[in-house]
Amino acid sequence: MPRHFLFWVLIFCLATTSSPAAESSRFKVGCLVLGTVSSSYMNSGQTLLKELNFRTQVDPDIPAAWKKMDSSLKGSPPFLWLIIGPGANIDKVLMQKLQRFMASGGTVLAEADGSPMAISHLKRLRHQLFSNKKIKRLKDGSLLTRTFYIVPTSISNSYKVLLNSGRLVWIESDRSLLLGIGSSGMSREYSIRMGINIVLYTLTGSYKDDLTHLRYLMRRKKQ
Amino acid sequence: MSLEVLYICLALVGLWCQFLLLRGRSATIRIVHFLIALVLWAGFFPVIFNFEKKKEIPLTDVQKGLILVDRSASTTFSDENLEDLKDRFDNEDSAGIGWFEFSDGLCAPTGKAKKKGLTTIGKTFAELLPHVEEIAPDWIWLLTDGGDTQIEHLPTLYTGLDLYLSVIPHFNSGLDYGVANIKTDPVWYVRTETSIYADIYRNKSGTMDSIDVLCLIDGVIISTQKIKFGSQDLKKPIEFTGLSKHLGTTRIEIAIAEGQGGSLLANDRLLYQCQVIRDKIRILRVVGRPTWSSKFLRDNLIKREDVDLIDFHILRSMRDRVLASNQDLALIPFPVEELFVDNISSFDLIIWQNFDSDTYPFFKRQYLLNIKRFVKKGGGLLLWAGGLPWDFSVGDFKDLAPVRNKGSRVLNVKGHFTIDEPHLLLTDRLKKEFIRTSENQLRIFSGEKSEDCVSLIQFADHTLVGIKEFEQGRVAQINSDELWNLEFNASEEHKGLYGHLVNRILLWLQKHPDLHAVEFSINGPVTINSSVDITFPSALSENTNLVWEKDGVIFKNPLQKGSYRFSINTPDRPGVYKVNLESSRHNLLVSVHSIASEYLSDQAYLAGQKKLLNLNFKKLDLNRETPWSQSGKSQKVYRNSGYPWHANWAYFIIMLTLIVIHWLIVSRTSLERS
Repeated sequence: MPRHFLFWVLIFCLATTSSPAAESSRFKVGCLVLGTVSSSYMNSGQTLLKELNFRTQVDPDIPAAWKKMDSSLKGSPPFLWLIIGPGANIDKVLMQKLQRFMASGGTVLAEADGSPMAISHLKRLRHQLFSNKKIKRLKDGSLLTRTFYIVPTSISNSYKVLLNSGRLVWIESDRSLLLGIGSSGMSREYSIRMGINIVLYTLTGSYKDDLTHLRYLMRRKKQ
Repeated sequence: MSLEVLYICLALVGLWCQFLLLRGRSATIRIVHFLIALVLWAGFFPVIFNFEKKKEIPLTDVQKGLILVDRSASTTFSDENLEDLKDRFDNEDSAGIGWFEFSDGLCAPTGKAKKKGLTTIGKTFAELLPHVEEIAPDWIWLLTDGGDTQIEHLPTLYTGLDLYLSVIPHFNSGLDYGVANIKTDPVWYVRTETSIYADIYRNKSGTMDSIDVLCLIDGVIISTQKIKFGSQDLKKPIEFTGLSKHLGTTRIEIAIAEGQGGSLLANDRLLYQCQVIRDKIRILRVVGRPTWSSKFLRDNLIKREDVDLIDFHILRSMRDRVLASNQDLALIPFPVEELFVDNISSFDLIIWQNFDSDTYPFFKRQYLLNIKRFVKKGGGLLLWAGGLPWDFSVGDFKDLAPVRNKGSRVLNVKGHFTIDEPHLLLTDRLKKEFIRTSENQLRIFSGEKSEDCVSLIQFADHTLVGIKEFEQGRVAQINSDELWNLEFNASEEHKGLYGHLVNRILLWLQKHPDLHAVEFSINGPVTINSSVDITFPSALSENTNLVWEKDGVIFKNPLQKGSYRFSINTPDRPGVYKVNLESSRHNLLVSVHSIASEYLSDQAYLAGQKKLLNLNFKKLDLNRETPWSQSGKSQKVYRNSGYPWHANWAYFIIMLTLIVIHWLIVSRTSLERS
């Protein structure tokens, strides 16, 4: 009994005085689902974070790193994965929350589950959020295709992005990246690579466009 | 063309016209009319040129004259010599003599010249003009060593006066070297090499020798050169290349090495001040792991137009498995050699964010030592904590870090921000907003504070932001990787707080002049052995000393309480001094200038005297009796009487009569013609 007691006291002290790394400093993804989507999306999100941990220096707070959010976005990390399915309810309050989120430094990745209704919801959402701004489709050699992996154009050209003062605030895709991660073969691998590139782009910004990198990559291309 | 010539030409043309007008009249009338017109024209001369009657001044009358005494630093004419000279003229006959002293310009008409500077004869004679117009002297006696080699001409008012020159001895105690004519761009760009030119001169030729010359920037030696004089050389040009690493005023100093400057010490150093501006702040950032902390700092830096950011993130560690060939990766090797050896001096600031160099075998210890050297020489270093296992309690950064903490020792602390240290880095707005912010939990990397760490912001008794001066450089440390929450989750009220804090830290690290302590101001340039005014924002509450320090030598001015403005004596050696109040840790860099170019070679003094003789000065022996006071000799001095010729009725009536006769002749001729 005393041994057990001392053990629990020790655990309590460790937990209260010098707790291990926590929480908002480590990498997390906020996941907001609008409408009805398959539960496999969540599993794919966890898979991506595990791959991120395995392949890169990013330190996701596994298993808490894939954080399900409600539409208040309260406590959301600065990267929000917005999954839109059929029957999504997009109201004005959510619009305002998303706008404030992006203005404060957050990045939103919005994807539709592939159904025509979800794609239509996504278009409407984008139009309401950025009515006057032009969203550009990713071109060959754009930063998202070379943040960590060099991703072929066939994968990257389904993405559109919006930058605000040089900072990436919005990425969207008609084709679900999470569905791709849940698949198999090269499609899965390229989806993971694209996912890792997106995460690293949100964390490092236009870093790969710095001269130090460009010079080296040009040299390598020539060789 | 002068006015006189123009007037004569007009008169001749007018007379010729008159002669033509009376064509056909008898020769007698034409000659009479011509003579009248001639007298009439000539009669206007005194009116136009203000001719005055001259009067002869008898020997017994009061002589009017000005004596100008050179009080520049190069002369050896002492106060006693001046008193002796004044005694010679201390009699009734000399009551009309005005005494003036000059150096950098005309000094007060009476009393001693306080500031000994250059000999500026041209400027002095220009400043003397109002006195000459008022006094109308008969002569001017100039006593100088001829140190002004630039004088070319004197204003025209002096042409009718008797000018006398007496040469007084210049300082000449033996072989001496000096520095003159520093030239460089008045505005420098920070970190950009700029050329500095100067002349090294000596006062005697005939020997072959060499001396060492130093170039200092803000009191720190940056380069030395040996100057060799040939047997006939009196002057040698010298060129240095310098750069400044901080903004604001930079003090460039060319100095002859200690003990090699010859007999005079005052001309061994020459200072020049220039303003340093920047194109951009060059920042090198190394990030050990991409995190939200690193992302928000980059977002903040990248949007600033005045920042040139060279960013390097470790995206993949040694243990990560990328599952792809190199061709499929957009990763580049860390260019450590390029950043930490070749180009390290080109940066203003290094940001070391959550990077554990011990993990990477390619990161040699030499790079850490280079960073340390970079800070020692005046660079800025910002250490920003994160979760990787770095350790500042040991190793090369132990001396640099304001707080000796570890990446592994992290606490989730509950509490509030507190600010105890009143420091210029934090603005009042920043202090208020930090205290009012609702943040009540923060990850803190805790550790032991180093001796000279100033804890700017605390969070629940832990140092959150610590700063420290390390030799000539500065180090700041932020001991949390959750500060980005201030930006991301901030209420509207506290928006911009994160950016404001980062901005103030960057300004402090680069020693931006906006953050300099202003406890007192020194009014005007400071020269050796003179006095200068200093002003405090309010009256001093206690007696203290103003301390001037250079190369370990200290010079003090006592300051009495109750006053806010003081006239203080300046040091006797030129150079860049650290000046501070005895009780204060803030100091001001002050340039104390010499008057170096005044100490010329013997030949230059002779050339200056020759130029004065060419300007109609008559040489006068200082010790002999002056011409205007030689009794028993015949001497005539003429002076304007103060009565112009035309200022009487007879002149007016004659001119009027002539005009009437002229009119009658001309009108009569015209009538006859019609």
